[in-house]
Amino acid sequence: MVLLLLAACGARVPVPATDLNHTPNSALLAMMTDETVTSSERIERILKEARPGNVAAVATLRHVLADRSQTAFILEYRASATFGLAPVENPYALPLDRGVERAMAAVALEAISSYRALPELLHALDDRDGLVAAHAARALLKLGCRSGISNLLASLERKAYESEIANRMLIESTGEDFGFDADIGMEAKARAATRWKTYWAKRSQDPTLLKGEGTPYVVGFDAIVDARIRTEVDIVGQFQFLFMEQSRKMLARLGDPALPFITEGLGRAKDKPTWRAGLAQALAGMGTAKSHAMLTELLGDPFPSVRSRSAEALVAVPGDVGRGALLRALKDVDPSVPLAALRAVGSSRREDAIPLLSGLKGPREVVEAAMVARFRVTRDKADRPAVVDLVEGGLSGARALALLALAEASFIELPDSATVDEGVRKAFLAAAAAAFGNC
Amino acid sequence: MNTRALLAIALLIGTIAAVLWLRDEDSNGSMSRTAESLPRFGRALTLSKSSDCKPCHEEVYNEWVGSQHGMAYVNPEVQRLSKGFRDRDCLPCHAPRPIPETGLGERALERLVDLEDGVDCFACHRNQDTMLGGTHITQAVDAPCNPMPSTAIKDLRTCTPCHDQHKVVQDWKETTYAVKGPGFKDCNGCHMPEVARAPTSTLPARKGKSHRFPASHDLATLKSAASMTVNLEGQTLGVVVRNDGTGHNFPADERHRTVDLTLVCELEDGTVATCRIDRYRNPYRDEFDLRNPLRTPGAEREYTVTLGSVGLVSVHALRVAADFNPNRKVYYAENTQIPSGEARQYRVSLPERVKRVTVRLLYKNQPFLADGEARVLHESVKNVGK
Repeated sequence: MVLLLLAACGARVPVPATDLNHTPNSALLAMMTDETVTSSERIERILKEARPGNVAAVATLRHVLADRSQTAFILEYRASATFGLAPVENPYALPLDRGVERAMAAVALEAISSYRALPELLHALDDRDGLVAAHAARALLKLGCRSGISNLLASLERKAYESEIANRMLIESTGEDFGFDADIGMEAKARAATRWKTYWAKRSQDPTLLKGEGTPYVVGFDAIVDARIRTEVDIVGQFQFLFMEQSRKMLARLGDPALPFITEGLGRAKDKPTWRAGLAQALAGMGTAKSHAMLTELLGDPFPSVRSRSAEALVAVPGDVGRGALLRALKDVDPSVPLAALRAVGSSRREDAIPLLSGLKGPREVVEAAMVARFRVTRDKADRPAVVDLVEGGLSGARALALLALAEASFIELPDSATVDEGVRKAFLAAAAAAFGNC
Repeated sequence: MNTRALLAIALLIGTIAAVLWLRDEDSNGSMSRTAESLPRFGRALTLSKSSDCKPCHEEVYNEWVGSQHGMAYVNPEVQRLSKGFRDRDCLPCHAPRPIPETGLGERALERLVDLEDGVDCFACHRNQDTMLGGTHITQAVDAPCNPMPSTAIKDLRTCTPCHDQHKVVQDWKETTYAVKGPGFKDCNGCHMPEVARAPTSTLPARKGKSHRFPASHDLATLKSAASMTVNLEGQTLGVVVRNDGTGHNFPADERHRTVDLTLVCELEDGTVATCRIDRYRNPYRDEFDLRNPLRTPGAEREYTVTLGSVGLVSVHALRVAADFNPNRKVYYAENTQIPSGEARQYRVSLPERVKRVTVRLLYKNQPFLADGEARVLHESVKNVGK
């Protein structure tokens, strides 16, 4: 209780000594980059650690798993840091062909099944090798976290070895089989992948446990895990952009178990708008009812960027939650907030927003953004010329949105330089006009 | 009250102060300053765009318009790289809200309105209802911008929210320029040089600070960042590249910025062959092949580079330590940028048939740019055997 109170007010809470005793096995780490060691020897060595309850190996396996290209930082023990841990540049990088070793680290962590690897497994979902992400997804499921399922679904559209293993894991976890096979041809594969996605959209709302699914983490269960997650909450408010981005994503993927830590973090971030805005962004990535409730509270934050990020996330939520947020955002005194909300109206194509947009008053940027938002929802031909006019004559925010709207409506990919290269922009507008003519 | 009670009160006050201190300390270990601690005018600010500042500050406005701050959003290269800012994470630094409001030293947050203005006047000067100026200004009650003197405007933590992402300011802190005294120079010392301001209807002639912010986009500033000396003895070429003009690494900031040391050899039969002797750059994390072979001051190495069809050229490279604080903190071990005060010294063994060599120090905005598209910082031509 004392530790929780201290954590809430941001005082330094040291990492318990038990984790400090678990220092990485440097001999094993050295093997990973030793060119004289074969891949099978490395894999064999990693898998020796794959024993339930072998928590002492987690510190080493975390580093084998963490690839510098996707996990920019690791947490280093530092007595002076708030929770006894500080982020430092990740010095560990396996050569490009060592994806199997990282995947085996995830397999070993799955066998050990310790919450102490939660943050690293969540970071590993971004690994450039789909095999690593797939094994991390399954290890996470065992720790009660379903975030990796969306990675498995995305992997169905990747290379054969990634899609095959993703499909197998999905079958194992759900007991369903939609006939996916990497060799059945593009169309049949796409159909099977779509069936998986449709199934998961519904099944993900069902709390009935999947096969192999464990219990989600609860704050207070393990002081070491708490310290690691709290440190990631703090990184969201610190300086290094990539670290912030990766921690935000980690918290979003952790989902509801992260909420008590974020609540504490918002308390520590009382005087730090950047930190609160970062936490709002982490909440925006969760998509759960509890995270929506917290974001609704943040619509009352004194700093506009916190409100605009909250509004953008909430307005995309169907039903009353999103509608209520839109109503509040449109009345906000800072134009950034209605602008963010209008962007979300367009991207989520929320039809119930249309009546709220007609006759909207405010700064020119807001009025123009409302026009684009309406077009993105309705794709009404009558509004098209006005949106085309905004591409050249609108204010900057609306210009970029207008291009995006025309790309969506014409199903033509928007070239990266369309905003600045007149030739590219004209060619894009001509192609879009031709596509509209064909409709 | 007895001594014990006094001690208990003192202990309690000390504990509260310690907790407050712990809460306020930021990740860099320095105290951040929030909007509340900065001066406020107490009257609504009616200005909202940078162009509103122009009537009274035309000279400054014109400098800013042409600066990289002024074009931070509309810059074609930035627009292309950010996919027209569909990559939303670029916005906080290319169209920031007022830094004094976000908190000095804190990461910037995005503005979403008046994006064309990029890093506008308000980004550095505005705090709520007030426009902060240097400590020399007066609190003119009739000025529409509600001006207030403040030390915040010269505070490096106005720059760090966007410019310390790659540790430029952290690197500066370890140089001789950061030592208080006659040699002290901070960001403003080089990137906001003193300029003469003409008198206006309200202000006399005076000295001001340039709002052009000359840096890597300014060739003169780039050329002054590092020196290159070349000498030839027989068939051995000696080259020294020294970071003797900046208070931070060279090149600095973004990881795509690159400086190449190249050698062009003209052979007796008319053949022209080119090679790169070295590259100074902080590589991206997924560029696994890019290593820093000279990891510590004093380190040296022998290597070969391919000189077109002529064959291999052997090179000896030495990392020459800086006179001041030679062992500095390393944030990324593979970084080959040259720290302030350090030099790279090369001995190149030229092939027999070479009659003339040209050594160039080239600045590239991104590492994939061809040599011909780079900006030439220094060039030296030597005739072999003369």
